[in-house]
Amino acid sequence: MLFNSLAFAIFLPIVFFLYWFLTNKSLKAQNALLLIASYYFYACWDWRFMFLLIFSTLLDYFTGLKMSDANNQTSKKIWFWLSIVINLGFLGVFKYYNFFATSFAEALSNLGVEVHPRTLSIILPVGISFYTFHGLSYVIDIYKSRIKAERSFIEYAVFVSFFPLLVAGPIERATHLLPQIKKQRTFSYAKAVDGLRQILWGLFKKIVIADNCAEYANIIFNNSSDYNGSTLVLGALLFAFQIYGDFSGYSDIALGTARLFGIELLRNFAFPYFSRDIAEFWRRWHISLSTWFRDYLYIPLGGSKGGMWMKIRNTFIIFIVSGFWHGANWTFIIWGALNALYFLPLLITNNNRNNLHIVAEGKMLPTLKEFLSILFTFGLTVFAWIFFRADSLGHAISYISGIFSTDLFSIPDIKDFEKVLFVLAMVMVFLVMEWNGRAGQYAISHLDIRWKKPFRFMLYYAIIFMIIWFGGKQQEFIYFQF
Amino acid sequence: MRQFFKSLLYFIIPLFLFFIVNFIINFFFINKEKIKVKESSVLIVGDSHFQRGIDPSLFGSAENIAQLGEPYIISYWKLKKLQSSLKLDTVIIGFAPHNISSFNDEKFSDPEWSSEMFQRSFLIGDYKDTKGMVVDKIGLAKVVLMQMFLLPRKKHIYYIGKFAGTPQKKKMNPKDAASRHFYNKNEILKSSETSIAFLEKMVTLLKSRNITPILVCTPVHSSYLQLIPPSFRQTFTDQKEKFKQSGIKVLDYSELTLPDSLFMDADHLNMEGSRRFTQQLITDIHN
Repeated sequence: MLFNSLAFAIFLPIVFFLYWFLTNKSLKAQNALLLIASYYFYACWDWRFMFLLIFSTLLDYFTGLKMSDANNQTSKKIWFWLSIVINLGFLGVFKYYNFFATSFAEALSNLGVEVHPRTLSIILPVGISFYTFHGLSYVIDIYKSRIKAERSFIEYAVFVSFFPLLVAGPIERATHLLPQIKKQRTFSYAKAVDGLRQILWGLFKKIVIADNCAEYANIIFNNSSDYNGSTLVLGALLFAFQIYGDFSGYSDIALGTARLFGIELLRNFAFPYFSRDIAEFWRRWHISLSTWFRDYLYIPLGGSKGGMWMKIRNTFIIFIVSGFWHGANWTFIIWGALNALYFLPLLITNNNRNNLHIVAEGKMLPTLKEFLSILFTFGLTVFAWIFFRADSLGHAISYISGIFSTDLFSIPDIKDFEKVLFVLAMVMVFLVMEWNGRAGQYAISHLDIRWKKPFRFMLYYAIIFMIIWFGGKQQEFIYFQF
Repeated sequence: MRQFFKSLLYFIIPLFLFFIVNFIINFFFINKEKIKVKESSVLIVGDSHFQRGIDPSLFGSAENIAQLGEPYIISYWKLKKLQSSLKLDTVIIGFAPHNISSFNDEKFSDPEWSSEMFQRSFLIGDYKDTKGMVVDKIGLAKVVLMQMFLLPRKKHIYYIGKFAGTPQKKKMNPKDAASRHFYNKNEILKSSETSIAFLEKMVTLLKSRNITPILVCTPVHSSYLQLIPPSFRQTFTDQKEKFKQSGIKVLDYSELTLPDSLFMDADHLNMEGSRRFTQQLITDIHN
């Protein structure tokens, strides 16, 4: 069930209505309803993978209890590692087995040993990387005695499978979400209105920006050898806006939907394309994943405490693992490594925490220096996206060499160029709106304070009509594959 | 909660009114809109093979209303709509193996085709008539919503095509065309009972109005012809014989040898090809 589908448009009001009118008097009933709705939502993708989700939930629930009740450290450790190995084992089999098998065979083949590995023809269960990470954070937090194990299975199951975040995040923490699930929610007018507003903005990002950009980015990337340098640059730019509109749009819909049910999820995006350096970009892009890796990988590895080499090593590890988390392909690993390389000069010169505040705060426009920094950072990011989008490393390299080999400064040569210009014009409108709203949680979150109701309604109507009239061909959310 | 629903209602009512007004305007425009088909004695109906392959200007008085990917069911609905308002002598209908392939049965459910097909047919179609075809009802509802409620539109009739001769020569792609027409992955598709039934219904309808139906198969490149599965060629031949026996003129040019320069691709003629073919077709019809 896609967020931008008719099925979800029917599903959401039904669950909302039942939640606030039928189950509003009892916490247990509220959570039971959320669990049923979440499992139904997941079963709409593929009911067979429900069993995997339920198994993963049961595993972490019971190992959590066993760790909490363990009399000694050894037994706690055994339960902890059991959970980690099984969780990562599932992820490994479903997501990475074929990659490792074929990469190993290729490596042996380079050494002159021919091996024909047996690959698995299995579908990647949607959301597996997200719910596995939910479970891992819960188990690690119990092991580190940051939280106590949850005794109610229903409440724990809602934490893992709450439908707005189930298939593409944000990656939640037990410390943040579980206390909300354990407390009865009461209806808040302001929250519900804000939730609807964020859903609307998310739909705009996905349907108008991402889906339109996707149409042309796909054409250019899929036929990259046919295009000249300037067209390939255009393709990379369109992909940059596609992935941003797609994933941050999804996150906005997820956050807005959760808010309709009185639950606040972790913020996932904070206007990343207005970042002045790569460090700031990574504080603003897919925040729930970056902070997950920071808390559960970077800091346990020693973080920035053990001197410069340690810092560099740990930075490379988290960027490469983060790349690999996205998918079993060398393109993602190189994308991660490239971002680590971008990060390196800032780390070495201790400038990685320079830009902690919003750019040009309280001002209409950035300074020239800020503007150029934003442009430079954006350029680096777009370059890295080429690896992320390419089908293989060879494809990425030929794409990049294509950019520099032919007509980089000519007018892009693509069919329906006028339509592409129209898409770019919409992207510009979108960027202006994002810039104006960059102090808020999302671009139009400040409207309640600044604009009167009739003007707000006019803007909402305008967004709705843009979605209807200019919406691109429906595409699946990119992050579902991860 | 009450305040929330009140605000939601205030927000939705103007939107709802806007849609109702659009519907009324569109309803008015639909009744006013004229079908742009010139009065002519010959009507040419079919899919892209006909749209690109038969030049109506070479006939004395003919109109080509063929459209890309058109299944027989839509051709039937079009003829039903047009036959009473036009004084027709002859209707030339495209008839080739791919026209009776079950890939046509997916035209109202395949995401690549369905919205285009609904847009063309929602004013003339009776979707209860679509036995053997899956109809994406949500897709249909979306198209009706877009066409009738979202904007006032002057144009609503999308089912009238026109001759689209193409001067350029594209790549020969016999495998792509054949796999689209006759295969699902590697399995050979079945022939479409629905398509055959609607072809027969068209013929019956025309005969009942004293209009002569002529079934024509346009020339295709030999590389494409070789890839048509024998089972389809057999079904096509059987149908052809059946029509001939019932006195219907069937002209099959599929095996006509033409130079490569006359083809746009493996299964479509280009502008010059259509000119040459139409001249031959006119001669053969008159003989």
